[in-house]
Amino acid sequence: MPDQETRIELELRRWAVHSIEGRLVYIEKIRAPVRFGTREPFVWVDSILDPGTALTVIPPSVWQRFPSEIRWPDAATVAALPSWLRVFGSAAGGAVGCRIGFVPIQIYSKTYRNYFDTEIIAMLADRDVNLQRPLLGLGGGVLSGRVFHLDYDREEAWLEKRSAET
Amino acid sequence: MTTPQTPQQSDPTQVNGSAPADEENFLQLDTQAQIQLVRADYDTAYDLLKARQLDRYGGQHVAVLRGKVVGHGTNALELRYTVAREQGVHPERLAMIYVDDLQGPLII
Repeated sequence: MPDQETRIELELRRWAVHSIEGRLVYIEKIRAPVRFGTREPFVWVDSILDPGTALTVIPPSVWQRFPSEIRWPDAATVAALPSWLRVFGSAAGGAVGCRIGFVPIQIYSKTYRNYFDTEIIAMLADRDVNLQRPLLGLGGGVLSGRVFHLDYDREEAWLEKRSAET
Repeated sequence: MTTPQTPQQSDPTQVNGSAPADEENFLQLDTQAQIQLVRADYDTAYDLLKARQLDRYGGQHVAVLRGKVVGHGTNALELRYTVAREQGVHPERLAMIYVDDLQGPLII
């Protein structure tokens, strides 16, 4: 069984490159293997850590694999949600309705040997549009209690558990 | 979703519909063993992606099982369940990745 550890190595994954006046640009993303839910068999989804997204967004093709493990807020809480927590828009394709839910996840290291688990608040999209993979956003619990490190030039990224001193 | 085509054993990127039934008893394995199985196929998928061998599937999801591409399509959920049924494995046994369409716009 993988261990919970203080440092989770992520992966700056590059899979296309082009040279512009001698400088290389890539399609590149920070990949995070994530287990959604807690039951067997595990629901394993390669996700993208995207601190530029305010809150984690999960496409229906993913969250419909574990609907019973999502904790939905009660009606009063839902009624009080502002519009920015009911609909999101993106460069990928107009406005998309969503529901807010609490989702247990485990974020694994790129070696799959260790992980940390948490419950996040996420936006569960009602259609895929161009959203093909979960985007692990800045808020909602993904990064809470963790320090996110990125050394771009060395292609290294990791999450580190915040110690009492920091 | 695209149904499996004629198997071509020598090319892992060609859809191969001839995989055996799920001899691994996936559901009976412990979590670590499940991870190892699926991880191996994710590694294969990303190796193929990096080698640009999945470019033909740009804009689609690709399913990999036991080191081979076993399906591709634009609807990830439908692809997962259809391929799992065809291959005789649990849907969560499949490794699936999305292949960016390098001929189309960059999806942010």
